[in-house]
Amino acid sequence: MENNKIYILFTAVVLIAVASGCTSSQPGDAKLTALTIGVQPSTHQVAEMIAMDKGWWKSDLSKYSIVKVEDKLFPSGPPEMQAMIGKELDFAYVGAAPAISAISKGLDAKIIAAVQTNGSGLVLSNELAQSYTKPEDLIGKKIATFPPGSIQDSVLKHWLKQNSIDPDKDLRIVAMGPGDAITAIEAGRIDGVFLPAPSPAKIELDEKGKIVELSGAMWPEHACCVIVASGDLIREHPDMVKEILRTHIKATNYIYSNTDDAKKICSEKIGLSEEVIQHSLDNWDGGWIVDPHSIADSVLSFAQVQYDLGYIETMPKQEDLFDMQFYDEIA
Amino acid sequence: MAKPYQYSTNMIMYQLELKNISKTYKRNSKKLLVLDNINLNVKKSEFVCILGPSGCGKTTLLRIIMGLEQFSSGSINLDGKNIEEVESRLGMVFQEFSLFPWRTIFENVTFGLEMKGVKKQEQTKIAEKYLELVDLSDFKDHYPSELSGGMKQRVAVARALAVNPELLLMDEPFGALDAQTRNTLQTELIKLWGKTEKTVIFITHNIEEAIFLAQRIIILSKIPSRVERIIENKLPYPRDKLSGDFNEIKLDITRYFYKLTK
Amino acid sequence: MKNHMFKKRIEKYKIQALSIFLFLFIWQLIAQYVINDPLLLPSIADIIRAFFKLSANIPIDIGVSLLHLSTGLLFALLVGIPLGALMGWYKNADRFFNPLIEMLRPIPPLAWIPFAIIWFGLSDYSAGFIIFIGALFPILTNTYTGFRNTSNLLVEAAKVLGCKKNKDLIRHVVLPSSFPYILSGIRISIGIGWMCVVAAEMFGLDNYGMDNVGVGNMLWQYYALHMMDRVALYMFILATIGIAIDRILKYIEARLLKWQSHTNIAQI
Repeated sequence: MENNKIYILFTAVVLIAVASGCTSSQPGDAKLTALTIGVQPSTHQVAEMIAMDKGWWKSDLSKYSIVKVEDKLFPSGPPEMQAMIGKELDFAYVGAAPAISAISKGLDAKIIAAVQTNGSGLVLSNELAQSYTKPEDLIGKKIATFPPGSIQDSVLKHWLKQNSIDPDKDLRIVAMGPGDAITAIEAGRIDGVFLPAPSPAKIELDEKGKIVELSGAMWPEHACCVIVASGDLIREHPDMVKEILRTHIKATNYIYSNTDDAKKICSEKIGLSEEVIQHSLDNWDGGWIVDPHSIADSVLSFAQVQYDLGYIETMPKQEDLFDMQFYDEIA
Repeated sequence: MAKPYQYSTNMIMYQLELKNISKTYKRNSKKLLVLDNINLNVKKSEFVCILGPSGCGKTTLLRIIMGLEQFSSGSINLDGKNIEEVESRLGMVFQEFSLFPWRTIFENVTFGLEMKGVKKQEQTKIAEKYLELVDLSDFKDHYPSELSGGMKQRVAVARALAVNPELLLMDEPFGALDAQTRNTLQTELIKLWGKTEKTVIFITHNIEEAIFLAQRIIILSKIPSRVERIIENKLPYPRDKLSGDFNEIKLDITRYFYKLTK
Repeated sequence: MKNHMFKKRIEKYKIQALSIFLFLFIWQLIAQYVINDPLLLPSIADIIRAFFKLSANIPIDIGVSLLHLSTGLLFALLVGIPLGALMGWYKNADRFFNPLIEMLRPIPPLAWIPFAIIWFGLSDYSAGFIIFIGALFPILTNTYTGFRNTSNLLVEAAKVLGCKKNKDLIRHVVLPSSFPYILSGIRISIGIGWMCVVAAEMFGLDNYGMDNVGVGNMLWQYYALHMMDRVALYMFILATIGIAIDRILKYIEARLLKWQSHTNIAQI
């Protein structure tokens, strides 16, 4: 009697699992009418914010049956990629490192455009910043940055090694999210942080630290944010992808031609004052770009870092990560 | 009522004297008179029963004597001196099972001795003696949860006696037990009383039990309780519940109760 | 008699083992044939492979996390038991502290992270603090209940035996009477504290001078790297250690409270 119950339960569970498995993967919805964009609250990704604010995403894509475009804010790359894995996002503005990580693990997506280069800053506590003159001054200190495998972690360690400093032995690099890192330095609990804009500017304006190095000086023209588009979108709606690129170019140009308006839009979206945004732009070395070719080598270097650390199993090739055809077609 | 300090060939001095004890409970603004001018005297080594229907103030009276509650007016003397809060010369056995469940039987019996600061060796001697007296030496390392109700009450008696009180107050100690166990324990109690010669004030609502145990039966009325009647029971020990004399008294008291409660 | 008890125990374990085995088996089937995407659902095989790869690190991770747990738990005991006792014994203490506690209780340990960093920096005491927040309330509540539920009868029984002062009554009656409650409170606290390990290790701790250790810490790192097989592995580790702790504590509880057994030797 007991055994019978168990078999029935077994069968029921398996049936349910199979049924749910079949229904979850729906290849190619008949008609795509809404798009969801992933974005992070950073000055790096202001192009997306401009296009959203001006309604360009919706108006440019309306000729392709799109009636609704919305974006979702993520505090950092990994949850954003997780959402993409769960098919919650159609394309995303995201750091290259999380993109590499997710695609290498099996995310069906490709990098279709660049968004921005450089743009991170090393902030030290006020006392340390006063006496800082060279990288060696960091020996014996504790610096917080994004976890291993991230762009920030890779750039920082790369630069330290170039200056003959051993990142594992000569100082302590601890991993945490942006919110906790800012709390730590503003509470005087850590010697320095290495974070993407606009966090360094905010810390400076709060008078809790000073920017001493910019990431572009550590690793010139290193790739940072990119646009990743889902495999479904690429395969089934290539014309939409091209349109997205055009809109991205339009928005990126707008940043340079209407910087004040761009600042305002960014400030509203992120929730930081315009003063902080201005200070961030005055004190960074980032550049907003579009051409994916220009960052291909840099991105592959980051992939190499991840591979060397054992975070990805095989070293990807350019065609595994990028789909340049869309850019090539409209350029 | 016999007068105190009555001298004869045997010096009759009362060990316990209750003079005009009254107790009023105040709850919110209501007042309830529970005990109404109770006068009671107990001689040394006497076995006295306070008998009354359920709901009369007999438990309250006992708790007042013990010091767990305060009386509203009157006075209590022990050996001629005014009684203090909780006299360590009094012992009490409760109706509910009151053994400390986390202590073994042995440790329960030594509890009072520990409080008195008695030395370990001495504690062991005394505890073993009283456990022997209630015939539970074999169970000294067991826990109360392993014992039956009757056994638990026997331990309670041993525990109370271990500190050598002069007066033992017992609040319907066999009320929660079945008839058979009760009979056995009543017989054992009388034997124990014979050996230790303690003064015992025993509360019950069971007429048969009162006649079996007591030399003097004090009948209390319902609230507000007064001493209705005092009966001297001169039957020789051990008493026979089936004898004619016994049942005569029982009939007498039963009729009286019937009249009282009408 | 012993043989019978032994057989019953085997039966009990057989059913428990069957349920776990069945669960793992169905998981493997679904992961392998239905979903077939390690990013969405790592299979049992993947997890086992990850286990062998990381087997050297796992004991250290568990050790570090247990240390964090112990730190938090120790302070939870030091604060919770006296405070619970105070509130259980004195009505005014209860009235005074109760609103504060009711306000703090619903705040999840996770929300305390910024304060942990501000007050304790990036030390391991920060992690201990997060765990403390989680572990405090069960111990506090249980001690309080234990004290409140002390039988008045037993208190009076002690009084008539010469134990009259408050401090003596607490020592000889209230504490032993509350002991079962306190013990079960400790067990629950440890369980909840262990659950907080993931939140506690989310930010850059000192980890006793080591890098990349701690069950919660590694779980987050692997998640950021989308290494879902390792994430699942560490979830299993969390679960296993949690169960192990609970079982061990239940055993200790039973032994310490053997006076609670109700085997009756029904004689007169």
